[in-house]
Order: sequence, then C-alpha cells, then structure tokens
Amino acid sequence: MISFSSYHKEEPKAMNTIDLFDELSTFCRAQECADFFYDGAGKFLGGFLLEARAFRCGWNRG
Amino acid sequence: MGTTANAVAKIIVASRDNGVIDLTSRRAVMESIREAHLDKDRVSELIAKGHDPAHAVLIFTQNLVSLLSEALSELKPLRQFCRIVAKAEDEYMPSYPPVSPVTTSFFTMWALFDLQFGQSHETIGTCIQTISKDMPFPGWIEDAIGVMQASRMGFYVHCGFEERYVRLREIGTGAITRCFSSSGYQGQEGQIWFVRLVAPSNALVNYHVVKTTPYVLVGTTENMIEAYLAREITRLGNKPIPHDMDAHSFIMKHGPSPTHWNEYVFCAYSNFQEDAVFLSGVPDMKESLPCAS
Repeated sequence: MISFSSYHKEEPKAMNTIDLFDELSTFCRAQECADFFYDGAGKFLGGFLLEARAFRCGWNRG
Repeated sequence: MGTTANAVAKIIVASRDNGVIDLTSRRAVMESIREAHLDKDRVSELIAKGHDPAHAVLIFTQNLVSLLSEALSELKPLRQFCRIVAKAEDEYMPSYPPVSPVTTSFFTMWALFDLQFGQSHETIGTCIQTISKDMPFPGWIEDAIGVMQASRMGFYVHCGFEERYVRLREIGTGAITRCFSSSGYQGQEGQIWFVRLVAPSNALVNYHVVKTTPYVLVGTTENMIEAYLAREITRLGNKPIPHDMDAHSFIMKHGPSPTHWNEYVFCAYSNFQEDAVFLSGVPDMKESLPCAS
C-alpha cells in the first residue's frame, strides 16, 4: 500500500501516467474474473475461510 | 462525473497524442507495478493464500487504484486532495492498534473513495471511472471500482449467522445484508459493528464483503446511534447534497466534515484483538469518547 505522505516528497518517477494506465489495463485483461471463483474441480470458492489466511501474517492487516 | 474528473481525464488522454514511445517511462511503470504487487495472476495468488475470491478482487482493485492515485497526485487538480490526505495521514497514522486505531484499510478506502475534492465533488474513484471511459479497463475491474466507489461506512446490528456469513442490519435504513467478514472476525448476535460493506461486483457473488476490520461498539446501544444519526441529519438541514445522495448515506460516506469518521475512530478507541477493534461512545458526545482530549 502506498503512503500518502510520500506524495510530492519523493523524487518523481520517470513515469507517464498514460503508460501506467495502459500497462495495468493490459495486465487486467490477461485475467478472467470468472476463473477466480472456482477451483480446478469446478467447486465454488466464495465465502470460505481457509486456515492459511494471509491476514494472520499481517499481509492485509487492517 | 463533473468538471474536475473531466479535467484530469483530459490531461491524461492528451499525453497519449504526442505519439512518442518513452522506454524509460515504460520501465518505470513496470517497476511500479511489480512493487505494488499488481503483476499478472495476482488475484489467483491471493486466493491460493486463502482469501475469499470476492475479497481478493477488491484487494487487487484497491491496490490498483492506490497506484493510479499516486500517479494522478502529481496533477494540479489533485493538489487539494493531496493536502487533505497527507495532513490526515500525519494526524491519524493509519496502521493497526496499538499504533493507531485508524486501520490502513479504513483510511485507504476513505481517501480513495469517500474524500471529495474540487468544485464537482470528485473522489479518486470517480476520476478513474471518468478516465476509464477513454482508456477502458476490463469490465470486472470497472465493476469492482464501481462497487468500491458506491461503498460507505455504516453502523450495523449483528443479527446472527447464515451458513458462513454474518447477517447485518443497518441502523438508520433497516436493510439486512448477508456478509463475508474479511478479517475473519465473526462476532456475536446483538453486537453493533461500524464497518464498510462492499456490494457484489458480479453475478457470481451473492454476499457483501466487510472490507474493513470490524469496529465493534462497546457500551453504545442501537438507540444511542439512531438518535445520533437523527441529530446529524437535522444539523445537515437544507444543505445541498451532491450526486443525489440521501442524507443518511451522505453522512456515513462523507461525514459532516472530511475527516469526521477518522476522528471518531481515533477518539472512540477502546481496545483491540487480532481481527477486531473495539470502540466506545457517540460521535457527537465528546465526553463519551475514551480518547477525546
């Protein structure tokens, strides 16, 4: 997650915003949303609480 | 969408017309995408780690909007946004207790989708929605941005469980929603939660996602919150509300002041555990808030 305090305080990256939109759009198109919701056996994954939840490692804390 | 979002979109899209391919920029973009964990297959990785798929889509989308907001923040129309957010970040130090009761997820969702700026009351979310008319993201990302932009905080009464979901009834509207609690906290019937619910972004999902770690109210009753909301709506009076919102939704999304809900969480903090934060008190009754100075 970005730090909002870093806005304008860091050296600006040599990055055109238009390129960022283009690349992110390309990445997203390479992923098919419906595939996220089923496992290899066609079982719906929604709503499960699995043991290996990432929040336990603080990955998505908060 | 109004003039500020259109001005931002115009600046971005105009830069495409110079016809120059800047390899340095492309390299910087790829590096930023990697740093933000937005590489290809990221959603699948999150699901493999145990995240609910609807929540994984929201995490990915939130990170994507964060990265875009960082790039957009260099534009003149977003100066006001940067000033407010940077000041709020310094003041509330979003993290997780015991560092701060203002959680990263709570703060980030507020900054990206609730905080309005410019004469046309835009948010980062509405700006990106406007830009994506010219530079479309795939539908599933646009839909996810749409439901995150439409989301807001709310006070809810825990009404028990339905299979693996929590049933929440909103104080003020009475709407009952079946929810997946993304922090893993399940709570108990009768509790009052202060949380952000995000509606389903596609037809595969028939439940809302509790996007923030639940704030659970202790010693503060439904009647107290109901009376508070009525007072807040009365104070709003005839003030014009942008985007045809109803008064209750406006209060819960934008607050009577931009940092109102950050301030409430900060002052009402009582305790925490791994997957929930406990608050106490009524927002407009300073003497009821444990950490109000």
